[in-house]
Order: sequence, then C-alpha cells, then structure tokens
Amino acid sequence: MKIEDAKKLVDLFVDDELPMELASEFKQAMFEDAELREEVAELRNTKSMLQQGFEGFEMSDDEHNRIRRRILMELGVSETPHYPNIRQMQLPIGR
Amino acid sequence: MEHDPSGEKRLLDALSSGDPAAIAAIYQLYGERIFRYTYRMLNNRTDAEDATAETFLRVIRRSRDLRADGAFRTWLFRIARNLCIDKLRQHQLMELPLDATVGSGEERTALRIAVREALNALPKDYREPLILCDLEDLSARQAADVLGISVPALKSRLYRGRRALKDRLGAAMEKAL
Repeated sequence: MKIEDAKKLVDLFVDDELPMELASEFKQAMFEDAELREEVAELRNTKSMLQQGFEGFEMSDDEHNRIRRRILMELGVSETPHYPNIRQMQLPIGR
Repeated sequence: MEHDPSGEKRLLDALSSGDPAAIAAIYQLYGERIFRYTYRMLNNRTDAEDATAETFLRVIRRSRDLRADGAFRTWLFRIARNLCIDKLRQHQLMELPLDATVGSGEERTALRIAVREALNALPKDYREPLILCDLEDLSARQAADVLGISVPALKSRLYRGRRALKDRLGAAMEKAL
C-alpha cells in the first residue's frame, strides 16, 4: 500500500473498520512511515482523552428519582406503595 | 449494557398499547445513557436532567408512533438531541453561560477541563459526531440517522472533528504523550 493511500485510511484503521487484509497492509505502511505512525498514535490519543474527559460521569440517585417522578406524574401513576395482600380489617360495628 | 432487541420489542409493543409499566422499564434501560448524552451536549446537570425527563415524556406522548423495529434507540437520541438544541438556543438568546466545568472536586482535573473546553469550542457539526460515535458508541449509520445526514457526511465530519479536537487539545496532548 502506498503511503499516500494509507493516509486516506487512517480513521478507518483507528476505528477498526478496515478489512483484515487492508489492515495488515496499513500496518506495513505504518512500519515504513514515521509520520503515518505518529498520526495514528495522535488520533488514538485524542479518542482516548475524549473518553477519559467524560469517564465515570453518572446520574445521581436524586437526579434519577426526580426524572422517574416526572415520568410517573405524566402517566398519572402514584408512587405510593400498593399492598394487595393486606386485607382491610373489619370494624365490629353492628355486631 | 447488553442490547436485547427482542426484549426491547416486547417493551415497545407494551408501551404502544398503553402499558405504563413499559415506560418505567424503558427509562431503566436508557435513562442513564440519555442523561449522559444530554449532559455531554449541554454541559449542565440541571439542563441534562430536564432534557432527559422531557425525552421520555415525549416518548410517552408519541408512543402510538413507535416502531419496534430496532430504530428506537436512534429515535430516542434524535428526540434528546432536538431538546438539547432547543435548550442551547435558549441559552444563547438569554446569554446564559454554560457551566462547562461544573462537577465534583474530583472531576476538576486539568485533563477533564481541557477536554470539555476543547470539545465545546468545536463547531456543532464536528462536536455532535464526536459525542455520538466516540462517546456514545453509536455506529456511523445510527449517528447519521440521529443527525439526519448521510453516512459519508457523518464520517467526514467525525474525521475532521477528531483532527480539530486534536489541534485544540494541543498542550494537554503533549503532556499525555
């Protein structure tokens, strides 16, 4: 593979989207060209830094519960627990 | 999260037939992802919470239009994206600053701040493919559907976006290498 051709395939290689045979040719081109190697390394680093920049970000329990409540309100569903197995006690009226 | 198309189809069928338990299950499946996505778009937890809730409320309101054919995830992201764009417009109109560095003390690391600032500084056409493909792990096809563009256009923006981000990260990148 010519270096000029390989340079057009850098992103596909970084995204693992090249067919095996082309990927293998690309690796050979990388071996021969320092600039190509550097570009691959920089793009991989950029992708990795972007992911690290947002790593570990989670919705808090409060946020989760507030959103859930809004959804239930829209549906008109109460969050009050329902106890179907508890029978109402009979009051001794009129006995 | 494992994607289970048959389980998702059952839930969507239940939702379109008016089963309220189905939306709770769908929220359980996608709530966290949509919250993360809206936060990445808006850089503000309060707005992200609001946009996430509104996304699922719109799903309920439009449940009759649902298609349980695997395109649900794309549809959900598209709703969330439209809400984010509306919110960003409101911020611009009201000239409200986005709290790009809001977070816990732990979050305020130099790298995180540098990455978020660099991402926010990119034009929207570059930022959105990066968020959808490199952060949300959507395929090029799915991301293109969310954005309403062709796959080649998506890839072109994604590749240019990566290079623009790399240039903006500049100094931080050198430290990491």
